[in-house]
Amino acid sequence: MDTFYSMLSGFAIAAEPTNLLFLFIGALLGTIFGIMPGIGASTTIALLLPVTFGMDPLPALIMLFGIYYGAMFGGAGSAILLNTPGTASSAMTTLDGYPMARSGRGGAALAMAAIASFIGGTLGIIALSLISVPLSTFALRFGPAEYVMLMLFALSTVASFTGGSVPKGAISACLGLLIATVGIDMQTATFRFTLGIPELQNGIPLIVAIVGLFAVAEVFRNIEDWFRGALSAARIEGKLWLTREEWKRSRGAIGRGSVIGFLIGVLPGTGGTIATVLAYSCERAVSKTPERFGKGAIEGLAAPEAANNSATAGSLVPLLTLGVPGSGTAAILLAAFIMFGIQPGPMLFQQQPDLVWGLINSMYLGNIMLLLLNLPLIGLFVRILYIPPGILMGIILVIASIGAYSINNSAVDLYLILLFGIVGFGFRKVGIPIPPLILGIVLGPTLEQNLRQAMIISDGDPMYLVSSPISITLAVMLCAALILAVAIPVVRRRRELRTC
Amino acid sequence: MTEQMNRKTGRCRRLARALAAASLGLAVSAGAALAWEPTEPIEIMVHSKPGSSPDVLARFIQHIWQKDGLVNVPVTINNQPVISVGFAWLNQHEGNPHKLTVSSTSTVVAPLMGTSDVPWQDLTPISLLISEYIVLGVAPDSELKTAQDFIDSLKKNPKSLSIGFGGSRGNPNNTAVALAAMKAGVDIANLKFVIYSSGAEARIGVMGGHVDAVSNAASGLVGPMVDKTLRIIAVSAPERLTAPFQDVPTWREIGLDVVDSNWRWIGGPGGLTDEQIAFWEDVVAKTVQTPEWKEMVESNHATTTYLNHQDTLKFFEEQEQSMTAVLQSLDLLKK
Repeated sequence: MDTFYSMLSGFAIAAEPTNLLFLFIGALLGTIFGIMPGIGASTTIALLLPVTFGMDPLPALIMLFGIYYGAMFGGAGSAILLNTPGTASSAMTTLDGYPMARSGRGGAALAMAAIASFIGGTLGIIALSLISVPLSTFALRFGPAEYVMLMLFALSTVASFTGGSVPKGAISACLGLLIATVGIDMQTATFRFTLGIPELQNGIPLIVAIVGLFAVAEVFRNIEDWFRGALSAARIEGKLWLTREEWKRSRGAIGRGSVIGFLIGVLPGTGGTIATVLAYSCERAVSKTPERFGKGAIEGLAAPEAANNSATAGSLVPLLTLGVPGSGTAAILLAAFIMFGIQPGPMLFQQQPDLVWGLINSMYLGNIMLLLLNLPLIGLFVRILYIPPGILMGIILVIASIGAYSINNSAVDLYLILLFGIVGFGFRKVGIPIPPLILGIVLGPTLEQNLRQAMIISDGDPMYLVSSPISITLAVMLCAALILAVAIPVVRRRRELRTC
Repeated sequence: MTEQMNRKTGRCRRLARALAAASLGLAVSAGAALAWEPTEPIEIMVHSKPGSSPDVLARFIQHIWQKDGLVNVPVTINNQPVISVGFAWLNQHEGNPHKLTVSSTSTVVAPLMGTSDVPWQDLTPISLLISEYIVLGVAPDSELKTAQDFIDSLKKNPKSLSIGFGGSRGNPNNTAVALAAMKAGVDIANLKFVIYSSGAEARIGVMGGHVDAVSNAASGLVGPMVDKTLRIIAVSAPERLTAPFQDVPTWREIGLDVVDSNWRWIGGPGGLTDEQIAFWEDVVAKTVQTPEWKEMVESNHATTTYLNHQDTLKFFEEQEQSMTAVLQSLDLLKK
């Protein structure tokens, strides 16, 4: 009953004018900086931390949290219109969002991104309010063995991206895993594949790979079209808003994406990008028309957008209840808590209910604000599509370069986006799918480090990996996914043969 | 209420800043006619991302300097990707006292391990700032009740316990435990160190029963200790820390002479003159005396271990010796 009362009074606290003002500032900043690749939520929050020295903790935290989930809204806009994901977790949004924009449905894509983000975010916060404490005990049971199995399961979903050719998907995923090994190895502190370039010691930043593979590769593709004389500006067809059919197709996707996003978000050390990958492949798996994916299927946009917003709420579960950041941005939010002398943990809900519930409830309001902020902007944003490609491509290159450079202030990252641009262009020419490569880069470090942790703990005993109920369950799911991946194309081919 | 006060103090602060700047200016010009003072904007290089703990410290220093007018030129933070690139950048500005750095234990350790090619002797340390001592935590229901139990178990079999920590090999979380075990005569090359990407993840590794112990700076484990989700059995400080760590014994109390910490220092590129060093020594000495600094250090469960330029040099030399010994036994020295 006490908790219920605290939850309600949290709304009153969140709705105080000062808190509302800072919430608005946070949501606005998040949207703006989410649009720029490289300058994501984590950089914005880190840069604003000193500004909050001496502020009251609650409005400051409300603002910083607003930036965190606001960036998830902003990231989608550039992904859809420019094929340039503003944040790593909007990479999956480009897969169907950009084709939608090219075929004249840019307005609908932006509307769906905002709506899916809103619903995903809100469902995530509801789950955060209701079940965060029991979930956090569950998350504790995930150790190295369980993570290894989870990562392998996630990796097995590569099959859903390959569109027919499993070997091509495997090549792409393996290259991603290889790229993930670049940099200093945590367990032994030795450099791997750094080629004597000190800037590579931290590894290749995910967003650099993503910006290169999507945005720069798209520029190359347009140059090719120009040489062929086939370059034309996109148009806007039909109404800006969603059609009834588009909405019907997306409803289920939003629901499934929200659930997957939240659950993955809760696990520390996974984060939004993995959630979007899983949501996308799940959507493709349940779809009756998987061949539409990658060509502008609106459900392929709705699922990851819902997932990355509910993953954001999910990552606050370990942050608030255990003091463990579930993502890189959450790590900086943890630093903010500590700076204010607040120790997140199980006692926080009892000791400072006003702060916790004020903060959580401000997120409901923040999501509404973001929806209201983003919807009217659609009409403005889609005008970007009227820009002649020659100029638009220049703009994309500038944004991509600024974004890549601002991650580390390092020119090496500029060469890297060019290199990844060439790789992305080449892959498209020979029909190798790009998402498995992203998946490899995202999952690689978590998979490798957890495997090696498991081997150190067990002194090299592989049976340790399947020694708990959770890891056994995940292992069974992994086997099932692999068998299905092999069996489904075979079954389909037979059926096709029969109908012939 | 607080709202109005904040706004008021904001206005007062601007006035105070102007006054402070003016009075400092007078004091300096009256003090020594030959003294150096900055003439162009100050850049503080941090070789880690915005939001990392050295970065937060650097930005805090920037905040105090500008608010209290300790430095009357603009101060900016320059984030560099890795330590060797950062220090190489700093030394491109050799002899330029407007370029500073806030850095950590890695300044001494990284060249020993071969992960940086800029020896600390090429830089000009100005002063040691703070030390975060390293504590060892176990699960509340663990059979390890004391630091002695922990050491005894390792003495019997170095592989009997897995010890988790965040960061990378050779960092203070690693060396503090290794030093203790080494002084107790354990073969530390065989210890099972499990490295996590953050201390928080290592901590839940213990809470979830995946590893036996976690080694981390005190600030990261204060919450779980108060909640009793972890039991803290030892601290690598010369004497016991203040509340809530007052009941945690030091390694010295069980007869192992171990003092190890994650320390932070401030300094500049190589080739600074005595006047320039003296100016910065003075500014830093004033910085660590401010009430805000004391509050920040206390809320981080760290300890201000300010040393002047000469003593900091001595401290670096001592650290280099003790770290060489422990890294050698861990087989982490550059080959």
